[in-house]
Amino acid sequence: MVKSKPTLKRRSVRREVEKIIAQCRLTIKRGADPFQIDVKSSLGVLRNFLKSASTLDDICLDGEAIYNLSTVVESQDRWVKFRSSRLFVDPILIESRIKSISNKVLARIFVSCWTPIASIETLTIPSIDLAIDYWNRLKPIKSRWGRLPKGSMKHLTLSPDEASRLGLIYDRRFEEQLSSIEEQIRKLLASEGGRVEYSIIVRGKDWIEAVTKAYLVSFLVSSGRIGMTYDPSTDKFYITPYSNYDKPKSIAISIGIGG
Amino acid sequence: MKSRKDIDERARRALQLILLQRHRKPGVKGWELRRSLGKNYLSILEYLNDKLDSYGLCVKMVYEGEETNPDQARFIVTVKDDIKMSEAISAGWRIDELAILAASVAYIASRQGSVSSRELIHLLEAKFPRWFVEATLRRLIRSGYLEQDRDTIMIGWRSKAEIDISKLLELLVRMDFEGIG
Repeated sequence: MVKSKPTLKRRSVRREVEKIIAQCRLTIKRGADPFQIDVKSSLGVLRNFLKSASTLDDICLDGEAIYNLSTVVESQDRWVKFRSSRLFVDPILIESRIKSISNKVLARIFVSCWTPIASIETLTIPSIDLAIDYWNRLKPIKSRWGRLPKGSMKHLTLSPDEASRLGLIYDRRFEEQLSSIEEQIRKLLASEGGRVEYSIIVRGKDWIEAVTKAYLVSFLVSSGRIGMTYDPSTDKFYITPYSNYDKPKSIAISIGIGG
Repeated sequence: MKSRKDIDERARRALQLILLQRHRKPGVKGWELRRSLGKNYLSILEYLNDKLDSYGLCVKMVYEGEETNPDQARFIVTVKDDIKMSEAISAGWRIDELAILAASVAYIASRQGSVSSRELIHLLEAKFPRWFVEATLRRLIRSGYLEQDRDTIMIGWRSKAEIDISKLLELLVRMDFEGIG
């Protein structure tokens, strides 16, 4: 199957669909008037979008938009029921009343509509028995604190060589390693046309090297020295040059034994 | 058929279970009452409600979520009639806190039961300092009067149980404060 490049028109329709989803979410979240959303014309936009949809991503986006529009329709139903119910009062009127009356009057109104819960917070005879039993069994504080053997707080020292051998510190400076891998990536990006598969970059001779490279790459991506994208059509991550338009987000990638 | 003495004994046990606060939330779940009183616990509670009526108290069943099974509901005892302002204050409430609770519940109820925390804080900030608003809202959420889901604030189970919301809105709209409190 030949994958078509998204045309300008399709991209603008896609943006419109994303806008519909955002509007629906915002309306539901804020509890705003759901009739502000023109469901009929939004469905028209979705119909056009679906005709030109060619990737799984497009179909998922269409499904998401349909779901959000259906929640708006559900909210419209609730809105009509609520407006016709006894509880309906204009929020602007309530807001102005809250602002205009004094706190004391507001509290007095509240108290006249309030029937607080009655409850008892008390100790019972069984709980007192339990407490006495615990107290009698409790050993003096000195005997409880004296359980650690003396001299257990002995200080240990490590030389830089030992620490390096144990893998606690790097024998090369971190910035040098970063610069080295950044240079490698830039060379690969130049030769591969601006996009290199993530797994190729982090591949190492063993698992430790792969993890080290992944750590360095994550540092470069987080600091904005290189970019990273996910291609749903291949289900793979790619390293790219950094772009200002990238939306920052956190992702987790697992690394197998082979890198 | 149960004897009168047996029913009285069960009603007494039910009242103890409901009133004695064992967790942070007051009241007791339906399934706990079923375990202690048997499957006819609802009729025992009706009997208890009649008894409590003469003391100005009543038994209420509150659903905390979408469920409709009484076993999942929370049973509480509340004051039957309105209380006085002096009684509220002696129970440890400040007038400012009561005003914030009243304003929050009325505003959220008028907005179909949920508002963004930013909007609510913005409204309350017109009358109180922000630090006090935030601290009081935190306390109200902790005690179940309000509920928070990310940045949305809703009316909590405790407000539904304790507050006559339609009366609160009606009084605020009518601005008829004569003879209150």
